Amino acid sequence: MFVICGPKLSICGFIISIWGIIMMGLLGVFFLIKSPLLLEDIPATKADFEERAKVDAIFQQSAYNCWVVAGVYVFVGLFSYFQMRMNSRQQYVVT
Amino acid sequence: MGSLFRSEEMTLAQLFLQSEAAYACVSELGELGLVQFRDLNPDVNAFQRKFVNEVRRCDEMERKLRFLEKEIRKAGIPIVDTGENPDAPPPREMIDLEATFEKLENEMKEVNTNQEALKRNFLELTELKHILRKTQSFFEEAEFHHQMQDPALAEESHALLLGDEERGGQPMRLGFVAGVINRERLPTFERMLWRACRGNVFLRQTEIETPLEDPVTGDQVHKCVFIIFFQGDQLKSRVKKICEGFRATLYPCPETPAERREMAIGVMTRIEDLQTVLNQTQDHRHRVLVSAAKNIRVWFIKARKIKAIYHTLNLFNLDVTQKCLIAECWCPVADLERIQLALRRGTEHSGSSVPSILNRMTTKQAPPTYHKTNKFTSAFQAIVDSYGVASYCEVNPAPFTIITFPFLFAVMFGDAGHGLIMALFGLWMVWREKQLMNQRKDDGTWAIFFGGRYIILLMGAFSIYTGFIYNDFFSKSLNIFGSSWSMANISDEDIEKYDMIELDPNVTSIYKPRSPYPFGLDPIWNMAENKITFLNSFKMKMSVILGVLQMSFGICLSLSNYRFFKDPVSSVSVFIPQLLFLLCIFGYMVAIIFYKWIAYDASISYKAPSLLITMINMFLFKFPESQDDYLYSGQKGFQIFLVLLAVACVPCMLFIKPYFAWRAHKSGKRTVRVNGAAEDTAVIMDQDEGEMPPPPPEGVSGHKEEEEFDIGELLIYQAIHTIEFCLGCISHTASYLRLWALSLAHAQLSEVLWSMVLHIGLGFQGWVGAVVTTLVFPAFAVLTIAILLVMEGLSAFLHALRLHWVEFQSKFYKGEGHQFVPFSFEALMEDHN
Repeated sequence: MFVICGPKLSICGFIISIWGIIMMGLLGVFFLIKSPLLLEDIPATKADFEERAKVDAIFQQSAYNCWVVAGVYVFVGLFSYFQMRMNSRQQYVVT
Repeated sequence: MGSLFRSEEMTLAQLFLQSEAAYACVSELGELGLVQFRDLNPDVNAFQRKFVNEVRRCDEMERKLRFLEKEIRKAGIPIVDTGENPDAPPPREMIDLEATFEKLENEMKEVNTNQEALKRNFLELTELKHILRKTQSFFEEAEFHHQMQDPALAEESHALLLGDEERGGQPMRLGFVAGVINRERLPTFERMLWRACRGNVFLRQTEIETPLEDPVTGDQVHKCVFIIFFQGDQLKSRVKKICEGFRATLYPCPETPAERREMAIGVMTRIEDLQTVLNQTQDHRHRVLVSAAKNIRVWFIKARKIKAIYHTLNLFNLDVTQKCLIAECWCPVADLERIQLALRRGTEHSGSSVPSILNRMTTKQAPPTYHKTNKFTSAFQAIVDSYGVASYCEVNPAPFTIITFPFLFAVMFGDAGHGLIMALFGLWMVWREKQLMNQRKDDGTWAIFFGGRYIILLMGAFSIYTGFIYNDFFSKSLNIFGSSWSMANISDEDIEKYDMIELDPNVTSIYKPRSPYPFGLDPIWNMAENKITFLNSFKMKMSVILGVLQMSFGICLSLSNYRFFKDPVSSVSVFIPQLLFLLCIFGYMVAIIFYKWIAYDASISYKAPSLLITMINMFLFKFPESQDDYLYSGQKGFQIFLVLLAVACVPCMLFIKPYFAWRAHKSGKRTVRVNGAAEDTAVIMDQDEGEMPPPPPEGVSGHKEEEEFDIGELLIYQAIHTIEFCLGCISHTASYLRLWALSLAHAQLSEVLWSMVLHIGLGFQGWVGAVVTTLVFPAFAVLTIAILLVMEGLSAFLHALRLHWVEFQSKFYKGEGHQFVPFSFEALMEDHN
């Protein structure tokens, strides 16, 4: 397989992916338990706030979104880790 | 065991080394790294010193080694660093080393010149080969034309040639030269030929496809084969001169095809032979370099050690009897045993019978400051030393800085999420210490971060703690214990009607009395509009409290200094008034801050008097009418007492100390101050004898060498210090408010980053939100690291540092010492790397 990203980019990608997985995972959990501190961060208009059920649904949707993002970053993380290995192997062979 | 609280006790020692043993002893001392030699021949020129020849020889050796290293690097051979640390070889081995290096250098030079000559030869043969091949086509063309044409027309300037001549009857004696020239020079060459020979010469050229290697520089150059036809000798010489001018190499090219074929075969054979020889030369050179590369690190270390030893030996004095060398050095008292052992080892190694002697001397000079640090404390010691090296045996702020510095940083940084990232970064660097130490030594910025890895780790850890207190995780609060505030009993119509609801803590249903949030800030504040107003008051008071605490602690450390240096006058006349002044004013302010926090609860908070106004009125002796505006009973009398006490401290600070000094001077009891430098008495002290007499008291100033006593100068000095202290109290206390300011800035930046960056991703409805968030998150991460971690981190670091250097250390720290720089091979090798 080839090296698509250089060594620095793959390490950056790996670190950001780990961070993203943890942070988005936790954010998803917090959206699910409907934390009031995240009230400003949900895509709800003033009209939506009339119905309780609607707001709950939006919270849940945001939670799922966050987990999807975490899932995407799992793949990005794996890819970056793979690239890191490729890079270090290439360095080893060349010298 | 060294203590970090004060610098090590140092002594000036005299070493008597026998000339034969001197080298070995200095080598052992260099390995030990515990003595700092003084230069006993400061007026002597570098070229007049005793061991200048040896130093010169060492320089030569180093030059040869550098030449070898360059050759090794050019050949791309890796230099293996086994981490071996060889001892400095004895002087007789130096001659062997010199011989080895000389031999290697000569061999390399010879091989290089040979290789160059061979390559030049090779180049010539290759060019000749190309010429023979290319001109073949020219000649064939010409043959063709020649056969087609009438010989009578041969006078015209067609490509005519002597083929198998004499056919045309009247042979046109056309001469030709063949050669090779750089491709870039060809057009100019043609033009020059045309002009100089007035068009009477004819040039054919063709390019050589493969680039040829230039023997001197090793570059690949493209060349072209050319052949010039002319008639007559004049033209010939002209052409030859032009070729010389353009540095085109001419080759003798035979005229008949048969001869050319023969020559080509001959050239091919010679090229093959030469190639073999070249390969063998290259192999030989490679072998020589590889064998040198194995040892070159060790040789470098040895050469540098020898040079260092001879430099040090140059600092010594030769005894009258010419038999022994005398050295003077500073060394820590606690390590005298180890130094004695090292000297004994050195004497044994050199095979000398006479042991080396170490004498302790008393002196009036200020010894160098030596703090024994390990890899953890050395970073903090470096921070303190950047401001000023501690005076000899004064209190070292470093052990306190280990905790207070990360703590003050954390107060200004205050976000647990960012603190976590910083702590993880520090943890990674500490965990991978050994590997990271060997890589990447060249990068300056990385070296700074790596050197401060323990500081970064501590700063991150403390920031996590203050993040929990401020309840700030990437600008969001965590509700871990359950908020003490509740909206449960607010009616629905109120919620419908009003945009903002005010929660009154007096109402039991809203706020549970006597059960505040257990640790840190209640998470409800994150959603409150008046969060900043509330936090401002809290953080400002906290900053002032921390400031007054740190400053009082600094003043108490100065008492420790006065007691160590046996300066009772200062203890009474400087320490006590200073402490009283600070505590009466700002200590009282801290006390009423705490009092107000405790005594007033939500029900009566509306009538709590303002602390600032209280303090101002305290100094203006203005007292309010109504009983409500008093914090406590008896406040009036107590405040008047405090102000008078503080004011009374000022003349104490101004006059008591000069008065005592003047009295001491009058009664003839004065500390002996002899002109220090030349008269260090060499006292032979027993090893088991107790401590040296305490270092000379540094407190009483104004005594000049001539024992003049100027009361005026003393008074002025004291006045300056008093004013500095008193005004400094106020300004430094206010300066601590930067703790509040920076933490506010950090919190706001963090909030802005969340609401302007991450919020965009979370604000999209439906599954689109996931896509956008995936793209937005890396931007959020990068900006967090760049702005909040790096920029804010550096800013908080700088301000915490300033608070330590100016506000804390000005209370007790002189910082006028000089650093102990021992003669150590380890330090030397690190410098070279």
